[in-house]
Amino acid sequence: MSNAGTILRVDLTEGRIEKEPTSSYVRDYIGGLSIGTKIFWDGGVPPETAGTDPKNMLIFSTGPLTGTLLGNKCVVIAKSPLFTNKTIGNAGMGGHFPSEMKFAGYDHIVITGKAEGPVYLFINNEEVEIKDAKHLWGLDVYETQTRIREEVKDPDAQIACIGPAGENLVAYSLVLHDIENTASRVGHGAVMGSKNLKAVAVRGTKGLKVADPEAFMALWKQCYEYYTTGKGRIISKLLNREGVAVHYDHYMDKDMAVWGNFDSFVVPPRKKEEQISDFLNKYLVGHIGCAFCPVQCHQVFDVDGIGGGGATCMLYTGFRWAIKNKDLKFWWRCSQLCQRYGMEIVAATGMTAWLMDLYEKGIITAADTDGVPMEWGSEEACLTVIEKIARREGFGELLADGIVPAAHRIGRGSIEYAVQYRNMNVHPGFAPIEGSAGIHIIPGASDVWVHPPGGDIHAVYPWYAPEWGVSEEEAKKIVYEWVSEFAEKTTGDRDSWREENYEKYADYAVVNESAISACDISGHCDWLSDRIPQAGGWWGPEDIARAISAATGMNCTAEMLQDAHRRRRLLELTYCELCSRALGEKEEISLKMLQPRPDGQFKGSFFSIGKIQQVVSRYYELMGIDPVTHLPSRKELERLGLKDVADMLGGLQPEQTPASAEEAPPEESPKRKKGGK
Amino acid sequence: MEGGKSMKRIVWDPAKCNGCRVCEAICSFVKEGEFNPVKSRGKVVRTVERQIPFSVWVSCLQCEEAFCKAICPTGAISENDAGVKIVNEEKCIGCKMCMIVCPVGAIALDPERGIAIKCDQCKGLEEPQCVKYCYPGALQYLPSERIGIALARAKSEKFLEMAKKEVT
Repeated sequence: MSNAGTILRVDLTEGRIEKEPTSSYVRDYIGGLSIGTKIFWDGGVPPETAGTDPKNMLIFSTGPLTGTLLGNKCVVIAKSPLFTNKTIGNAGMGGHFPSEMKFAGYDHIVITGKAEGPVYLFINNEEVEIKDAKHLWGLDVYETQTRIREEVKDPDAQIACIGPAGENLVAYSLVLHDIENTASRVGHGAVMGSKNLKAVAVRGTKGLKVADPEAFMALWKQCYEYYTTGKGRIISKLLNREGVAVHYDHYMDKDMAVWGNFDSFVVPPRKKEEQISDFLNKYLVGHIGCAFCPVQCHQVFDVDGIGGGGATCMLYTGFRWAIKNKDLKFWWRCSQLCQRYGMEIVAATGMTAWLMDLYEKGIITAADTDGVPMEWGSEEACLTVIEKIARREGFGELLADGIVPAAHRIGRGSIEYAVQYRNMNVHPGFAPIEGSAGIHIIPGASDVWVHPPGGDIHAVYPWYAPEWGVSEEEAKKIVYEWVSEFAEKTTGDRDSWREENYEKYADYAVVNESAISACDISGHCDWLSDRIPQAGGWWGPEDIARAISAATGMNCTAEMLQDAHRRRRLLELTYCELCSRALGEKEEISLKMLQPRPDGQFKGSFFSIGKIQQVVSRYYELMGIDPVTHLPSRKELERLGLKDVADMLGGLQPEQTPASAEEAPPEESPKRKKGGK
Repeated sequence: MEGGKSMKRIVWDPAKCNGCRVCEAICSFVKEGEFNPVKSRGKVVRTVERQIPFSVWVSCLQCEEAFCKAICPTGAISENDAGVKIVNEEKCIGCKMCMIVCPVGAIALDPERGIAIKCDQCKGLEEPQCVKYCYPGALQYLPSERIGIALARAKSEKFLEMAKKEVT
């Protein structure tokens, strides 16, 4: 019942608007990311299709809890213009847009095709209009939202839009909603830009009922108690007070953050005004966040001479230590510029750090960057890079498709300095160590690989220690115990979470991936779930299942959530493999990631190919994926009711896609059904 | 009914409000059994200026001299023992005059039943639910005579902080 009930389909080429019930997907996929991925899979977008092709399918997917007190997220899904193999990228987005989608009556919005000229979508309950956006094209993300609200005469319309970076098909451009919520990292901004879709605006006034209000209320009370008096009170209090701002500064304190382009992990000591706590004191003017969440973990700043805006999460990690500039007002200038353009800051930062590295080593000169020297920490260099990429001007054109194409265009061995996986810049804030190395091979890697507790924990206990009034050592013991307990509960092994534990990390990751997925399926924020055991850990799949049951009336269990996760994950990994085959793509690991850490607390730690393979093999084993073909086994697919997928894949040779198999001489390819359904 | 001495009222502190809208969600859920800000008795009115959001919480202030009660043509609005203005759903004809005369816009129209809906401070429950679940404590439920000092204390916090800094 708390499902809004409808999938909205918009084809921008035909200008066609259709609606269909969500119900047929619910039993096996439940909601959110799982249903969205299934819709994408059923859409049959050919694997070799570019992310900016009109055939690409862009999906906004909410879950059954979105729009209630227990959920506010959506996931944005599309073929990514960024990844070298053009596979699906998905990105979570919060704020007030996802709830408004539900209030308007829609669980999913599916957009295909390309409009003839710039348009925006205006969804007002049942009324759906494709409106002219020529006058909005070129505007930044803030101005776009202001103008649309004026035009539709509704200041409460919730809007997700792109800026000039998305319009210019920058491969790492993003979709932004309000002042700080984004679907980022995988280039959905360019997908919208390639469809001539400037924005999606929603206004909804219908309610969401729940099947069992008493049970739902009891679960809400339980959740609220966790925030206020339970184990979650420390993370709620800190996130509410300052978000992750201080947490990320601790990454620097603990040698987890890069200084430069991954050549060092020791950030020079920071002066008082270079500490984010000082910046918070001076410029914090408010707290915001997602609909109906008590924690409101995002920050609002107003900085004299630069202006106001929001910040959360990754934004704190861009244009700081990786480009060797500790000036926080400069960080604010760069981050707000990226926001306005609708460009993802981690990629922009990684690109800049790489250029600065190449410049220092004499591989490029200022002539290669339109006369602007790429000196470490140079404000001119950073601002120029951001502007030029967003506008695809000058040397920005070389960089706008991602670091791998840029390196191939520049040549001179520059690829060796590019720290990336599948063209996505490795995060400079919490570069994974040891066990989570599987991220280099496992596609669509969720946070458990990017943001493992073994790394993050070092920036968590120093954050908690002053709050608890204990020493860092004391706090470390407590938090390690929390995570070890969680690892024991979920894998039977207290140490499976530890970074150095190659044999067991995949076991921990598989469980954790499923727990994150329960959030992506339901719409419940994964920050407030047990997928971060170092945060106190509450609200695991069992709780989410209970909430879904109370909300929708379906008898949802943790096992059903896990199966809905596995179906989604296997479809995603299958599609990824078919994309790689269609393009002849081979995953390459950045050489820098294979070097032992040169300095800092984790000096000497590194990934070895052998150990990466060990982690990945175990992951594939647990997921029912064949290590040779990288495809799910027939057994696992049939167990999950995906026999049609098994039949489609059956008989494919290791390098074959269904399309190429059909073209092969008769004696090499057994007959199979057309299409990917 | 005698003036509002010792009657409890809901007070909102703008300095603490972060626009989370938990109050809207819990209100519509408790009063109407659904999540729908349109049916919440308290509204979060939000604007964004220079990328900085400002939220104002608007709900019935339980005016000592209630225009809504005075204008109602069917006498549908009355005061209970606690001085809280309550809409009698049977008597309400949905003329919307109470909405028009309310000085703060605290009354809404239920689109399905066509009647006025307004805050009744969760009559029948131990306390207003919006107050109970306001995490930053922007909403308080206070006896009328305590409202002044509570707000004075809240707004003097900044001075008290400064004073502490001087001393240390």
